[in-house]
Order: sequence, then C-alpha cells, then structure tokens
Amino acid sequence: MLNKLALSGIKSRLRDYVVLFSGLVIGSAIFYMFMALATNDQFQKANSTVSVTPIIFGFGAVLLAIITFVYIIYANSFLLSLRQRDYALFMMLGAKSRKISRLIFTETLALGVGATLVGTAIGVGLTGGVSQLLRQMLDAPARHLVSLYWPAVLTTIIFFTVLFFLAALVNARKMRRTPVLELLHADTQPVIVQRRPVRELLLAILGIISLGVGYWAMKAINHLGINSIPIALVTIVLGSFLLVGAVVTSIVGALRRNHKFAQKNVRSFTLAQIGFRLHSYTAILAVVSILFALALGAITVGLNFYQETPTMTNALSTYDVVLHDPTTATQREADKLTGVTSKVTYDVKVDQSNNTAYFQADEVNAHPVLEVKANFTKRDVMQYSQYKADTAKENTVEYQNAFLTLTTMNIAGGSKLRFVDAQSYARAGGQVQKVVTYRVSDLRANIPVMKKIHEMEIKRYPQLMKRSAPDKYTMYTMMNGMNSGFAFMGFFLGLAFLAMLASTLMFKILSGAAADRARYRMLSRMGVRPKLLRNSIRTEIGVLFGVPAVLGVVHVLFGLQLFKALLINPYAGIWVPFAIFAVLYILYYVLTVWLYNGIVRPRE
Amino acid sequence: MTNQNVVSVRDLTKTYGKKGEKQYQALKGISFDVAPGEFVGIMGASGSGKTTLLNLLSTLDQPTSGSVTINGTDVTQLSGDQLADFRAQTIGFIFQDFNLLETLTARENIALPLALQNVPSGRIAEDVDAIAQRLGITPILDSYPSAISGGQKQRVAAARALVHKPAILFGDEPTGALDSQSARELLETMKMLNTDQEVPILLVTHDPFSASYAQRILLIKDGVIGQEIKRGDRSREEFYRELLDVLGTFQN
Repeated sequence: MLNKLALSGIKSRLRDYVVLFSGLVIGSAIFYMFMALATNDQFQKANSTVSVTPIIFGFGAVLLAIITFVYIIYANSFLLSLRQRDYALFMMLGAKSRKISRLIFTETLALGVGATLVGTAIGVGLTGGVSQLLRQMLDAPARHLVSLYWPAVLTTIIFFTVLFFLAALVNARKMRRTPVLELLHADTQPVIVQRRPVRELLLAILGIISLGVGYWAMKAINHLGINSIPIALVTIVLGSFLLVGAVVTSIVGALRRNHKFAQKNVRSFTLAQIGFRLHSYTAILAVVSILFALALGAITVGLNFYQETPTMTNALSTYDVVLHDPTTATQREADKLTGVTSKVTYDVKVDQSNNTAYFQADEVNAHPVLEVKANFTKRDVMQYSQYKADTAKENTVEYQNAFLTLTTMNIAGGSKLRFVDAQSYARAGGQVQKVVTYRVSDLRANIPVMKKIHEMEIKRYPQLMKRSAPDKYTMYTMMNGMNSGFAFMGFFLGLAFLAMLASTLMFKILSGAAADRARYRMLSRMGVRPKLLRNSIRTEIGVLFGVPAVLGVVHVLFGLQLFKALLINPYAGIWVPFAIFAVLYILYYVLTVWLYNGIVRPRE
Repeated sequence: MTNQNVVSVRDLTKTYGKKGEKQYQALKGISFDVAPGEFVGIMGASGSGKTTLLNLLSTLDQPTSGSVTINGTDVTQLSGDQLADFRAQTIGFIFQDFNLLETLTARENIALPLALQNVPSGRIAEDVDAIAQRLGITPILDSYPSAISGGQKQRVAAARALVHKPAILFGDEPTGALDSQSARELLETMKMLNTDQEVPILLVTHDPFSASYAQRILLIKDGVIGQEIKRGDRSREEFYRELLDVLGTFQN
C-alpha cells in the first residue's frame, strides 16, 4: 500500500522528478565522458606530446569526483525536499518509520542507479558524437578513443553506485531521526547574516592574498614545475571561497543598506534574496568558479592549439603548393585552391648530367623567391626573405635551399644552382621544368585540395618525400598531429566541464526553489507586477551565475600563464572561445530561469 | 453621490470544478456594501464560503458571476498589471500566518508597498516611522521576522498593510495565530485605526471575540448571507454576548 502511495506521489510531481532524473543523467554522462579519456592510457599517449598529461588527467579526475560528490549531495537534498512532506504525512498516519526509511532508501538508490545506467549509456553516445564532431571540426584524428570503453563504464557505475548508496543511507537516516513535525513544516528558515566588518575585511584580504599566491604559482610554472598545479588549485579554491563569502556579500549588504537604491520596486527583496543565497552558496559558487575556469581554460587552450597548427606550419614552410610540370589533372586540382595570394611560374632547366639547376635571372628578379623567417614572439607576423638572382650567393646553403627545393632534383649532395641570362639559359643542357608556386591566405581551408595535389605529386616524383624539408602539406600533418590531440582534449573536457558546472549550479538553485514559492506568492498578493517578479528572478539567478563567471574569467586570464611554454601566445584570439563559452553558459542561465519560474510561480 | 460605498458586492457566485465534472457551489449569490469608515465582520463556520468570499474581494480569485466594486473599480474586470497595481495601491491585507518576507527586516517589509509605487526613499522612511510609531513597533524595526514574537509580526504585517494608505483593509483571521493578549492588542489597534483614521476594515473570522470589534456582522452559511447583526450603540461586551447567543442558534 505504502509503495503504491509513494509511487503516486512521484507521479504527481513528475515534472520535478524529470528535472532531477535528467540532472543525475547529465552528471553521470559527463563523468563517463571524462573517464573515457582519463582511463584510456593509449589515447593519452597517442594524442599528447607532453609527459605530464596523465598527471593532469589524474588531478582532473580527483577534482571531478569531488565536484560530482557535491553535485549528488545537492541533487539528493532536492530529492528529499520533494519527498519529505509526503513521507512525514505517511508517518503521521501511522506508517512505521523503519518502513519509511526503507522506502526512501530504495527510492534514492533506484533513482540514482537508474540515472547512472541511463547516463552512462548517454555518455557513451555523447563521447561518440562529440568526438566525431570534434574530429571533423578540429581535423583531429584522436586515435585510440573509443566511445564504449569498458574501464570507464565500470569506473562510472561503481563510483555513482557507491555515492548513491551513501546518499540513500543519509536520506533514510534523516527520515528516521528528524521529528515528524519538523519534516511537515520544513520551510527553511533563512540564515540571517550578521555584519562583522573587521572579520569580513580580514577574510577578503586573506582571499586576495590566497588568489595572488595561486596566480603567481601558475606564472612561475617554470620554477615550480608540476607542483604549481596543486598549489594553484588549493589556493585559488580557498581564495575564491573567501572572496565570494566576504566581498560579494558585503557589496550586496551595502546596497541593501543604501535605502535610496534599495527602496525601489522589489529591489530590497531581490537584494535580500541574493544575500541569503550567497551566504548559503559560498562554497558552491567558489567551486563553480574553479570549474568555470577549468572549462573555459580548456576550451581556450584547445582552440589555441588548433589555431596554432597553421601558424606553425606557415612559419616552417613558405609555399603552400609547388607544382612541377603541371599536368591537366594537377592543374585542375590547383585551380580549386581558394584565396590564392600569389602564383608564380618559373622555367628552370635541370641538367642531370652535371647536377645543376639553371634559373633565369630576369624571371627570378621579377619574382624573387621567398623564404620564411619565423618570428615566434609575435603571432601571425611572418617575415620573408626575398632572394633575387645574386650569382655571388649561388653556393650558399640559404640560396640552395630556397631554390633547389622548388625543383624535383635530388638535392642530397653536390647539386648546383646557377643564375643565368636568357642566352645562356637557351644554351644550357638538360630538361626544362616548369615550376609553379602558390601561396594561399587560408591554409586550413585548402588542406583537402593540398592533400590531393600532394598525393599526385609524390606519385610522379617519389624523391620529393626523401627531402629533409618536406612540402607544406606534410608539414601541416606533422604539426596537426602534435597539436590536434591537445585541441581535442581541450574542447572535449571544456564542454564536459561546462555542462557539469552549469548543471551543478542549476540544481543548487532549483533545490531551493520550493521554499521560495511562498515568498513569490506573497509578493504577487501584495500587488507586485508579474514583470517585476520575473525581473527579480532574472536578477537573482543572474548574480548567482555571474559571480562565478567573473571570478572564473579572472582565473583563466591568469591560468593561461601555465601554457606559455607550450603555446606561442596563449592569449591570442581569446575572444573566440570566450564567446562560444558565453553562449552556452547563457543558454544554461535561461534554462534555469525558466525552470525556476515554473517552480516558484505556477500558473494561477 | 459623495458618500460612495467603498465596497459593493452584487449577486456574487463562485462555483468550483469544471463543467461536466463534479461541481461545488461555494457562494450562491451574495450582495452587500461597506460604507466609508465602516468596520464590517464576516463570520461563518468552516466551509461556509467566507474564505472564498475574501479571496474574491481581495482579487486573489475570479468569481463565476456577479461583481465586486472596490473604490469605484469593478475588480472582476481587472487582469495582469492593472490587477497587480490595484492590489498594490488600493488594498491592504493582513493574513492569519502573517505572510512577512522572512528575508527582509521589519522595516524593509513595511517599506515594500511604498517602494513598489516608487515613493522617494526619504518619504518612505517618514511614512514607515510614522506607522511604526502608531503601532508601537519602532524598537523592532530593524529586526528580522524570525527574531520577533507572533504579536509583533502581526503588527508589522498590519503596518505593511496600512503604510500606503489603502482604500480598505482586509483581514483574514488576523488573530488566528496569536495568543489572547496579542490578539486583543491587535484588535484594539485596528479599532483605533478605524475610528481615528477612518480606514474601512473588512474582517473575516470565525471567532466571536474578534468579530465583536466590528460595527456590523454578516453571517454566512452555505454560501449565502444568513443573517446580519448590527452593533448600534451597544458596548462591545454586550455585542459580544449577543454574538455568542446568535451563533449558538445560527450554526445548527
């Protein structure tokens, strides 16, 4: 009978249960996605050139486990808040408390394990989908990544089952121990925040110092080595916690005491709500700010590695395509190149008998051959040396490299370069070779065409592959092989962390929404316009989303220092990942506002 | 007509339940008026329809038919922002369970109706202090609701209901959750407001003692006004005794 009642209780609050269940599903799906990478050594080895990658994944796994734990606690308290009145009512009607606690134990465990199984399945699908998408978007092979990776499945299911088992125990115990009356009237009493200015000031200073140490540790990674990561993690978590607790709450308090500002519409209410929330959300907001920084940082770094591939490639190789005696087939492909900035044709005579290449001085002087001189300190600023027909330099290594590599000659040893006038050219022996050079503005967009041309060319001239300086396409695949692994991991983890942090925040807010319902009903009775109420909700949730976002952005700006050694300029083009991130984050905000509205202001 | 009625109710009915389903008629046609400065009590047993009536009067619910005119406005025709503004400007409420916002201090609670109307903060402070003094809650203005007694909470609620000088004050069992001493004090305060400030009051209660403070009592039974009792020139104590007598026979 009780089981039946319990089930009908669930039915009547199906909407809330759907929210809860889908939240738990998201949690386990993301945990799986992370584990699919973190437990896969082969993938990590194949896709990163840095030996510390497994250690970083280790830190990440611990962090995610802690956050998931917190997340489950919130989801669990949301579940309890949904159920405790019903169960208290059953108890009042004479149901044995042992029976009730067994019911809630079963319910928690069943819901949790069910969500974990569904979540893991979805995680498998997401891993497949996201990695497929990223592979295409980032041109990343992401070798050895399999969507259904059994060690990850096992880790996820065991971890979550243990967590839910604990949560179920806690719930059952809580039901047994809390007096029935308290459960029936479980309207949360707001914590009244005492003003202690001196203490707050001290905490704020401590928080700033703590953050400073963390930021310094990231900047000083060269001295501290891998230690800088745990130092930064601990101090930044602590600093964020203190700062949210002391500074933000003080600001809200000060605004509230400024009657001129506060006594307008429902501002005093909104401020009070925010103050009340901040007080009980300090820990979660600090954690979310760290997650925010990790997610945004991962995407930023990932995108940076992605963007670095063409830059590095361009810095190492000058001409995007070099055609030799183009056939109709190769010419047809070359015509497909887009954004061609320069196309130069040279007629070169290659005399195999004396291993000499004859370039015509007039042609070379009209279109000097370029050789890139990379300047790694400034991104996107490429300098090129222009080589004209200077007979004095025919024997220098520079000139030989620049000119002879344009031909199909075997340049291994003793090859000679000669600049000659038109008559001497006509007299020289050997075969005429037409060399066409192309330069394009957007390397990445032309990669598919370049790949085809590359394949056709090496079929005709296999000796080209034996050169120490390969063609641009080969260079690109090498660079991409190095960078795309990082880009893939960055994006993959960034998206996963983002979904996780936003869900955590969303849950925490929604779990308190039931208690807010009475307040909004009261305001509505007092004659507050619906629009004002909606604005108040938007502001309140906006602040809760905004505080960790601002902190997180600052963390990232300092955290990018960590990557100075790995990237040319970690800060380049930073607005792109920030914009992507902002859009996704705002979507989560809108969703939370919508759900919260549905809970606190049911249609009358 | 200079002496327009503050509240005018005509043929009010309310039926719960949709058509085709099982319906329940809570109000079966009620008409009455409240004159300016009048203190009217509405009494009835549980289920008599008095709460439904108050909800309709205070615009929290829509009637099935009939009209409610408050201060010249037919409130059954209002919706959306108009309705919200009407509640904010014309009506004051006191509920049984106080309905204070526990995240706000007493002062902030009282100031809220004025803030909603964008009254300058200087005037808000004056008005709040004035009403607080009249209700004797000046010392607790900066306390939070959780730190004050039930009687004080209800005074704060009364201050909040009156601070914007509404056209009428509605009370829904305002003494229901109070001890007898606090209840008596609150009722005396309401009477004082009614006589000194001429605030019309409509009090819904099932408690004859509370009702005895009114000048006129409407007894509701099974969705209609069963009887009307006027106090006239009698003392409150005499009126109370009569109410007890009447109720003894009326309930059966």
